[in-house]
Amino acid sequence: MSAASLPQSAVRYGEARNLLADGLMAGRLGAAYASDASDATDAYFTRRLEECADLATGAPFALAAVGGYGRRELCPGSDLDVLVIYADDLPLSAAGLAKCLFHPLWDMGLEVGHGVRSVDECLSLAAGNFQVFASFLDLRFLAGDRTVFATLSRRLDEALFPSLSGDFLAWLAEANKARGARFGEAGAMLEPNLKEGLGGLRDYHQALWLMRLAEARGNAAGRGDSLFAEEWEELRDHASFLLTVRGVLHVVSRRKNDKLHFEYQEKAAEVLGYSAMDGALAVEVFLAALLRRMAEVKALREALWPVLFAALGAGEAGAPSPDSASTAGQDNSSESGDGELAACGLARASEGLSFLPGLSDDEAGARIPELFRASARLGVPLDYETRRRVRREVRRLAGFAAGDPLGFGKAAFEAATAIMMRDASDAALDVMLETGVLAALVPEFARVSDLVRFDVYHVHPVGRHTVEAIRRLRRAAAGEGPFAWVFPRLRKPERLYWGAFFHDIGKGLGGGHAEKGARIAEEVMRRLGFADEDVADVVFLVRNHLFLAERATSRDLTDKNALARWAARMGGVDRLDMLVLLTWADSLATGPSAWSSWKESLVSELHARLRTLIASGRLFDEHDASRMLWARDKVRGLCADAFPLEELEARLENMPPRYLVNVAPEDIAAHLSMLRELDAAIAEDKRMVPGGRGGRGVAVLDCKPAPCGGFTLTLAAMYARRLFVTAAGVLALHDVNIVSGEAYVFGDDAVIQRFRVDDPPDILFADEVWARVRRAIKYAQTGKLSLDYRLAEKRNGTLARRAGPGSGRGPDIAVDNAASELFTLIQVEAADRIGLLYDIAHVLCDLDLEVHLVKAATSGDRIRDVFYVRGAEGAKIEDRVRLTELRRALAHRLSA
Amino acid sequence: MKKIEVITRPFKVDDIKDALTDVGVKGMTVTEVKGFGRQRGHTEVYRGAEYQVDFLPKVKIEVVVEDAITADCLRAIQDAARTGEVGDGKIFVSSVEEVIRIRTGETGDSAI
Repeated sequence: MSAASLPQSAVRYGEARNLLADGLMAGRLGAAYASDASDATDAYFTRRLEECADLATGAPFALAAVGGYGRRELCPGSDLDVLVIYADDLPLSAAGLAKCLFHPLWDMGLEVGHGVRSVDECLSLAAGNFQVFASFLDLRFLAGDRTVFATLSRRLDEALFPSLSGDFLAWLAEANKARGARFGEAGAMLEPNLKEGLGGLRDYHQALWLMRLAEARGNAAGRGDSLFAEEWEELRDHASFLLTVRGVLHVVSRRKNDKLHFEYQEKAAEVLGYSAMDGALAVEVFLAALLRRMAEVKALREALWPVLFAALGAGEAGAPSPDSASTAGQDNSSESGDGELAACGLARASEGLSFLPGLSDDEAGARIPELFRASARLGVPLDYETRRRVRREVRRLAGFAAGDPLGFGKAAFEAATAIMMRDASDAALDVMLETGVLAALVPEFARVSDLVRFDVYHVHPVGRHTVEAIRRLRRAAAGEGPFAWVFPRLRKPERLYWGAFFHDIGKGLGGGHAEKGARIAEEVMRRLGFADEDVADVVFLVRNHLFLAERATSRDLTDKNALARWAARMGGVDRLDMLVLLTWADSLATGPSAWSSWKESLVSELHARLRTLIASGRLFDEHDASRMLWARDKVRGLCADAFPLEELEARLENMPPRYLVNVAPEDIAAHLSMLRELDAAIAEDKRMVPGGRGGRGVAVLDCKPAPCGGFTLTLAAMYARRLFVTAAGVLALHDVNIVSGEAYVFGDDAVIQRFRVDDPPDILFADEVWARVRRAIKYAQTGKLSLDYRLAEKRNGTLARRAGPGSGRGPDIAVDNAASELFTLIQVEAADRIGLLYDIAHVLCDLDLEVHLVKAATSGDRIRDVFYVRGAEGAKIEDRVRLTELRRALAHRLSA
Repeated sequence: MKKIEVITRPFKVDDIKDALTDVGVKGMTVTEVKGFGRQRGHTEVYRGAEYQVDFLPKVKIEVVVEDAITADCLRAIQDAARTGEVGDGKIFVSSVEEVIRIRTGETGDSAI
């Protein structure tokens, strides 16, 4: 419908809305938008009702707003929930009236939820459906007959709300569980849901509903004059911030939308007026503030619930909590003496731990470390009042720690260490983080605690991530994870926990956080008077906390010289063991994409090799030459029945030494069968294709599930320059992700290429995928399939990956001739895209370089591929001109 | 504009509807249909040779959406409909030349 045919009221409403949206984008922010938009909508209904006056005669009725509109919380894309309420049965004119009121809104493209009901119908509907029940808690008069509205609200207050509030609470608790499962904890998400995520606006709404119900019962708790007025004020402040962000999100994404997707985060930060600070991007400053507030909203809701429950007469016992960790261990009754607690100035009641009554503020501040130590030991959380007091006295604690670092400071840090190592509630450290206790003990921690990285890799701000890593270490100590077996062997496990506590403390200082963090850790530990050995180990851990993962995923783990250098860097088995545990805990705490079974197998392999090397001083069980002899003998034994002696010896003779050293004899035997199959296939092809053109592009492909997940693909073919490129391209075309690859050329020009790949998309019909891959390799090798074209087409497809924050940066290309004696290492880090490995291999092939090994590691939406290459003449590439050409060619291809 | 046709398990309809609403889709058409794909219905072997293919009950959801949100819709549908088992269904996407809202005569994106 064109604007001209809209009624006057709607035209004015549209103008008002546009004005408001422009204001929002121009930085006129704040919750004012939400209420102004509601006022403009109210004005529309009043005017429109006047325009429809002839339909509004007869039976008395009222217009009322419910839901978000009822709360006067409208965002640009919010829907409008409006009720037409009649005192008695609906008159015939009701339908006409509804049309007159709502059709212009639809024609403006707004989403309208409407109902036309009698008071009785409203009540019975609300009694049968808690969603409707909740919406009535936000009921607000708009226009029409006030007595009709008053009747409905009186009957709701008197009859419905009191009788059903218990059931409603139970329903809410269930709904929150479902919310947690579907939307997750917003304060710990990369793309949080501002409304439904735990810690989102919904938490604030629920508190509002409960207060409204308490009010209906005549209980004063609802009116904000009670003991939790302070928290209530805080919650309101957070909610208004979230509402503003949501409004901006609606405008930026040009639709109703509650999930803060990556693509909108930078724009939203800009509109909200954030700017870069202390080396952090504007968007990172914004996200840090947002996530911290959402975590607090969740904590506040959990703190307020028991109080509101009590106000509703439901009692605290029934207070459901979506976070079971905070209540775990509560029934752990008092076998450990309350007298002991009292001696420390603490007391325990059913609500949780608290200070003894009558403690001065100074005394309370000084007892905070003991309080948390007791909480962790007994598995009893602090009660709500005490948590608040801790927040208040945390500055005194910081004062004591700073004033006497060697005495009080160290004792407090040791109390924190005890909590890191043993925590029956599994949540004490989280509360110490939230209340600022950790930052008070180590002021350097305050700087990084809320730091957020804008990428798809780091899920948590640094503070939360650190606590998470420490939690993982505790689990490893309890036997969880692949490296749990080294835990009991550690000489001083507390050093490992300290390493975890400090590992990211150097973040946000402009790069090189491991090195900078090591210096900060040293400073702090010296200040606290730790022994030199402790300090040295912790500094080592912080400095090297990325080392194992980085080397394992990007280097040849069979390169003896490199291994010897790394072993020297470790210095001892104890340090290596601590480092591998820290690597594991750090990765798991980072986010779901930071650890995979593949990475685990690589890190395990590296750990095992270094351990053997350090412990025994030897790399392999045998010397290389004897290893080759042994491998040959083993293969002879395995293949004696299948191959005539002469053929077997000839094939063994053709094997390159690196192949015999690196590949297990069982695999070599399997490869021999494949090579034989290849010979037969080539002979057959030559027979079928006349004119000497047969045999081209023939390849044998073997696909086996790998023991730690994913597949091992082995390709046997005759040497062709583009074979590696073709394989990489075909796999990309079939959505198969390569994590590593190696190529061996035999003396008779046969080639074995082995790829370790992630599961194909269709794991149920993997064989079909591999059959297609096999065909595609042949087609690509014989000129029937253009990989360049197909991959470009795939990249432009509808479902091609959305650009993440990492895509803005160009590729980083590094060439390293020192890392290996035999190969030049080419490391490319670039935004993830379909066929990245293919593109790089393509350039290398163009420049006549042979790829011997490739390793790919993903960190979020950036990929790091490391290629071990040699020139066709079999030597490293040391010619400067050639290296420059290589860099330029790579940069050109990857930025295309 | 794109037309998205989804053929999937009947009990997934509500999830898909919710997911699409979250992305901003305002209307859809749902039809009960029968068919088979790799799932092939229940096969029965009789005397080692005979088998029978049952048509399984499925639903077909049709929506027409703006180009800008097509990718979001497809992701939302995939996430909502996936169980990982055979029989999750398929999504077909095709281009739509024109849309007209009959009541008002609006065309293009504003008529969706």
